[in-house]
Amino acid sequence: MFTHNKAFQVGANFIMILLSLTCILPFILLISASITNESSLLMNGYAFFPQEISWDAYKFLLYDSSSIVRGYGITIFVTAVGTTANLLLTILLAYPLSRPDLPGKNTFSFLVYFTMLFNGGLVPSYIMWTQAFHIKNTIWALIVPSLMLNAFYVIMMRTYFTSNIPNEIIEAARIDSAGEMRILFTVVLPMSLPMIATLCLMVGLGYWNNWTNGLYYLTDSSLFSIQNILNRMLQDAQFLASGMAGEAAAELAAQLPTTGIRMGVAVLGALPIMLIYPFFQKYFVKGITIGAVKG
Amino acid sequence: MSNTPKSKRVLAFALVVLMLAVLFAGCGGGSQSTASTGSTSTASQASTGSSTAASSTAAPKDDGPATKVTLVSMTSGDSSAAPDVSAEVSKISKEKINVELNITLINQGSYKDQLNLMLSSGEDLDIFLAGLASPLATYVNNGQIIPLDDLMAQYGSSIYEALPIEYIEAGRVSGELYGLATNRDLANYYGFFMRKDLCKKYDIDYENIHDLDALEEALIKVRDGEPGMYPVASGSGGSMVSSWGWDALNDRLGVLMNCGLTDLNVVNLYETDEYRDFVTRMRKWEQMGIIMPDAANNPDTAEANMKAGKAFGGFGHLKPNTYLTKARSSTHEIAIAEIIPAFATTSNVQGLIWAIATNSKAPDKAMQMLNLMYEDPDITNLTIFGIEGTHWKFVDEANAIINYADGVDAMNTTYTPVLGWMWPNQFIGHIWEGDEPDVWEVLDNFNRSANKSMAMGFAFDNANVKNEVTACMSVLDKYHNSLMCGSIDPETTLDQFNKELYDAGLQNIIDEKQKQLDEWAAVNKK
Amino acid sequence: MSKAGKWRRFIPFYLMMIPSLIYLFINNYIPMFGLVIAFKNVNYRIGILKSPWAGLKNFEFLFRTKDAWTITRNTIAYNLVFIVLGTVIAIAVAILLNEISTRIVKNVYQTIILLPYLISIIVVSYIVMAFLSYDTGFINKTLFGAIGKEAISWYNEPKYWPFILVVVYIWKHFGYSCIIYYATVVGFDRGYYEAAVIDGATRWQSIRLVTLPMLKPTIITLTLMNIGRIFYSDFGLFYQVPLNSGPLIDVTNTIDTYVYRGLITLNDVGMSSAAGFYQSIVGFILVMLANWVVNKVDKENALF
Repeated sequence: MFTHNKAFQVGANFIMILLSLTCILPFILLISASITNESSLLMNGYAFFPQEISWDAYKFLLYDSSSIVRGYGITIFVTAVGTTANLLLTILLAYPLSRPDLPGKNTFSFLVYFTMLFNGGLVPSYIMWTQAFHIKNTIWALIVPSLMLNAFYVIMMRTYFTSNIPNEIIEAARIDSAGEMRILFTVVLPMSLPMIATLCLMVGLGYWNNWTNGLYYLTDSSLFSIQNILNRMLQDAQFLASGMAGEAAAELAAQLPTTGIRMGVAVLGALPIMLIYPFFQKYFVKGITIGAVKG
Repeated sequence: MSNTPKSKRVLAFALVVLMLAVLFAGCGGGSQSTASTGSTSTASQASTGSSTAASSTAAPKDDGPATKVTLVSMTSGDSSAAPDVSAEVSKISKEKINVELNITLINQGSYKDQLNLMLSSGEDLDIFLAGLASPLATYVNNGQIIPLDDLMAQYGSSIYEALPIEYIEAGRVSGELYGLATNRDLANYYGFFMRKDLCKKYDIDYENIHDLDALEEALIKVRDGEPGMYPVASGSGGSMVSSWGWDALNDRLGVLMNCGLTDLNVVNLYETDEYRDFVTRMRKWEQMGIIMPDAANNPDTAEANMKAGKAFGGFGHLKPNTYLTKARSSTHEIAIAEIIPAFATTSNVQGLIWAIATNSKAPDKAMQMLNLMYEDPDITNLTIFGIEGTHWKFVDEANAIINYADGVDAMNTTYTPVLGWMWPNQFIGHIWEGDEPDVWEVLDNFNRSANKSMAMGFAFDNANVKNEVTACMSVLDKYHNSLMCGSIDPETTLDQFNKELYDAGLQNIIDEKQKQLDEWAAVNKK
Repeated sequence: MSKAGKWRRFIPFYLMMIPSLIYLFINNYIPMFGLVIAFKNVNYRIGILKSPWAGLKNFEFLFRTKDAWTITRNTIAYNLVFIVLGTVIAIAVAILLNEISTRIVKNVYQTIILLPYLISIIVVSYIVMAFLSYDTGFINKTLFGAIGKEAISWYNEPKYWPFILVVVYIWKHFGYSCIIYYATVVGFDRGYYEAAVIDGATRWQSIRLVTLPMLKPTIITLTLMNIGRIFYSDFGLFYQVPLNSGPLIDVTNTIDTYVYRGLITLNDVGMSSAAGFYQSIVGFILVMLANWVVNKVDKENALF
């Protein structure tokens, strides 16, 4: 590696620390607000240390712990399956498009990119997925629509292949009479680990954060992802607080800390990612170069 | 220089043209199922069974297999027991009108989106709660609901008994009846609600406050005596109050002043003296420190602010038991100053209304079911409260007062925290403990005795002025809330506001509205 | 090589692409028939396809308003700033991250800067409110209070908001955007850097002469794709963060918020579809143009 220029290191670290502070301080505000008594929040605004601690928000959110656990379970499953499927589809599409001599490459690239520009809208998609494919109220409703392949990632992957995988290496493997599929999986992918990790992260985040698929395609609450569950609880809390629910929910309505609940929802949604992300980071290293083919 | 770029562009445009040609030619996988009635694949929807095809057109009145009717409405919280409730209701409805009812409850946060999708994709759906996602007139224009006049004449006798005739008539669009009101507060009076304890402390005779001058005096006392507390918080999403004595005629773009009680002249609300006076006073109050800062943007309700001790009270649209409902959410006893007496408009009614969808394969049975719901107390209690013993039990059977069943509370119940006002006729149902024992009679009298706007029953159809409405909405957002909360100065901005409205086409809207109103009046008011 | 042989060589590639192309066709191309909704007066009773044509009537509301220029200007201007500033900052952070020597520290930074992206925009609007609220906000109460400056009614003063919105956007996205650049930089062949060092390059020169040029394909690709979205805006950022405050609307109104404000009561599917179509077409034309320019200048890096 390089010799490390000390001044440069100090400067870089200084800037990164500043940036990190701007990111983490608001999050601390969030956490603090989620455990602050609602009235105190309204009177005094947000503070880094809660003026009056109240766990009501989390008590409300985690009340039905079995549905929360199931929600996380479903989300984890959907994210794992969906991300894997997406990764495969993306790589299998991006790699051929990155071959400079593929006939029709530009046409296909255009067809792929075109999907990013034009969108038929929700109603046609809904009609197609529910009536032609019958995914309503099935687990596939969370996996298949719109998230399983995205032109943006295909193009990113293609660009990565073109700029970071030297053609000579591929030629060398071909000379060893390896099939194209094999070349892809044994030569190209190990060299593309950083981009694959990036894709995993971004696609995974897309699945994890998605709540619209559940909103449109699920009425059976046992299939809800954690985002759907949390969002629903938040909406219910707001509905109750608005006074529109009847006498039966009066006591409940009076106690609900809607702001605290909203912050709690944000915390519960973000924390798991924070815990998993570090495990991805070890893939952000240059992959192994097969052979020592230099330019 | 290769000519690829040019040929690629040609290719690109060719593709677009080709794609559009394909669309115009009408092919594509989902096309068949967009024809709304008779879409075959809806049979696979989980909720309905196979009897729809068999029984719909051939349904004889009293025997043969029961017709399935699907009802879609809103809920909040857990309502997983809806199928059980459906089963119980079906026992009664099968016997009386040979109908099997299937209740689908959608959570209120998702209601608008899911209902739109169900209606647009031709799913199985007979009766549903309308008005929340779109104005009634929009459903009519989109061809999503059917007219009810004939059905009412044949099957709607109980409805005529349950609802006062003016409120039934208010469900009309372009002269045809499209929606049925629920028995709830169908009129509102407007005033100021505030903390009773502070009223006592400062000797505020709230019962005799009937205008803003008197209110102002009271608020100044509170402002001076309670530092750190603002006398007025905004409610109604930052607009201070939803109406202050005008009939909004659906969208506030062209209204009838004086609650619609005087005449049928559609005027620009924002140019009237009443509006100017109100917002000028609000500005004065804001400068005097009576109104909370950032009131127009505050996401919290007035009650929440009152609970936190940050506010003394707020304006609101009120009904007989408001003092109870506000007391629940603000945790203080509430005193109310009534300033604008009760009146009812078409919007009151059409804001929440039952309709029959075009998708329905058995509209006559759907109407019979609706009629039954207005007349049968057992069905009403089932649909509103759930199953006796499982979800609720009697606390005082003689007076029909109920509460949660043993071991059940608001958090763990499997059938919605009670939302009686959404169902057709909560007046014939039980009373939840904590409400006044005579709450239904009081509310019914309130509805019947309230003033009715002269335009009640008129629903504006904005199909011809959609562009102007869109442009005006943007202008409204710029000024209305801020003016109503006193955040900007009417002296400098009110004229600008009106100019922008006229530039956006307000006059066209007013003209169109007046024209429709006059036509309607010629037919309906002899 | 014979023509048949040439094509045969590519068969494995075509086979690879098939599953993905099928998905794209189903998920993206079939529903495109819905684009006709923009040109029709939809009546669900007779179905979308049989509904009468409305020509361009559904598009009128986008132009027949005095706000048409404002919303277009705002949308494009903000997006240009977001693209340029966002790219510069994302690259800078990616390079800085790469330079950090200690592995654990690097990972900690990387994790923390992703946080803003994970927080929903509504929650962000609450955080902004925590800073800008007139009486309890951090800036008015604590900061100005300490230095004796008078409170500003932030939500009523439009002039600060272009700046505020840009800061909020960059804050929310830089941690996420830099990942792509970081992954790309990490994947560069070390050989180039070693050669540069041997030639006596300083750190700064390495960055300028090796890293940046090698990032060019990525930068161009991402920028081109962003240009395609130039008529779209983040609804949450422009509607919810300013709390839909009236006086701010002239500087925060974009095409998306205008459509939302207008159609929230109308609920007209034809008009909202028309708005989407309008945004798509403009993006399409701009991308085609930009791509053509890139094709002339640097053929390898064009999108297609």
